[in-house]
Amino acid sequence: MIGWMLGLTLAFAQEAPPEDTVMVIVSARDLYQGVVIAEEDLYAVEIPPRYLPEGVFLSPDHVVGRVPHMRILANEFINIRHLETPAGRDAGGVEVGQRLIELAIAPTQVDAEGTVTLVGPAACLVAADVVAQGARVFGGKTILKAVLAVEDLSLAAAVAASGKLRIARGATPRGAKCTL
Amino acid sequence: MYTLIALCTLVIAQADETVRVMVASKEIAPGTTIEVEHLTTTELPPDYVPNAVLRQPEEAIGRVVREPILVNTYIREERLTAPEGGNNLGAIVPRGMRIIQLPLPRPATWPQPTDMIDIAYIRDGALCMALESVWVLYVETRDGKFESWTVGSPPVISVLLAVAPNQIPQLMAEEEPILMLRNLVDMSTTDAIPRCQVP
Repeated sequence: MIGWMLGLTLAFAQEAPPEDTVMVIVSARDLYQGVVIAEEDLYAVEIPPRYLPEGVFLSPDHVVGRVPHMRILANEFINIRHLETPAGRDAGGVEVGQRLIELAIAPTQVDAEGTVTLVGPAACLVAADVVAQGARVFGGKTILKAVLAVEDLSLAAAVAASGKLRIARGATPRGAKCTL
Repeated sequence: MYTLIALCTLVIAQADETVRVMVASKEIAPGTTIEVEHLTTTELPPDYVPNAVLRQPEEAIGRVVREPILVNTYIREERLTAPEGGNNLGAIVPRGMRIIQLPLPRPATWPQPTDMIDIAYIRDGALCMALESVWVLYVETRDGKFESWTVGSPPVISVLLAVAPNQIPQLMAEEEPILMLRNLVDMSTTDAIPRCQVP
């Protein structure tokens, strides 16, 4: 009798169907904001779907090469919220080697959006391929929000401070570069 | 007989064993003092619970959050300030750094908390760089709130920055500061712009 019950118990334990699991991506070490995530920074664990937290990644392909904007501690599930800024921003569309800056421009040029060229006195060239993110009037000045290459910042800021910065529309002017 | 039933239960229990663990009931921003309403519990298999998590509410309540804690994630000691660090804004300032408030020249939709910015000035008609890659700890919005994580629609009127003590004089200039937002991964120095002399 005892042997039969023991056999039944072990058979029950062995024959219970394994629960389905999914693979979840976990940090192998502390990962820091601003540092690109590499494959060796990650490992995977199998977890039953009922324990799956919302927003976690199931494949390393969706994590490798991305940048946390907050620290991810070792052995944490990688979550979409680790990799995006609170408002879903992506550094304001600013790439490496660029800066987002506000510049005073000519008062009438308030509808600046898209790729533009910045020009100075006598239509000299300040910066080409500038991404304008809109302009607004504040304190009697028209302020352009724009993304510029780092090498164009000095000239653009100086010309803006002189009150002679304008936006050129249409074809890119071929004029000479402005001088400070 | 009792022994056999106990054995059977143990086998089944092992397959389904969970522990009750404390997690955040909502997103908790840096600088927040944890209260009961920030906490809840969930059941998880013990293998999925790191050793370093806080398990009892009394271990977390009253502590100040140093880094954002996402909803449904564990409360871990690494994300809290030291108990002796106080419970005001300064509690989240990294050790050895100072917090300084810089008014913006005009209200703006940027920067946001956790952004990296450069700060420059126009001096003698030319741009000079005062500080680079400064971490925005908090922003003050026009409705008078200090936000460390999420900012709604109110425009930002000042930023609270984490700086080293020797960087503070660079921010004491009389000129209007020019803020420049940089990509988080861009840690390069901007050689194209000369450094500002300390005023």
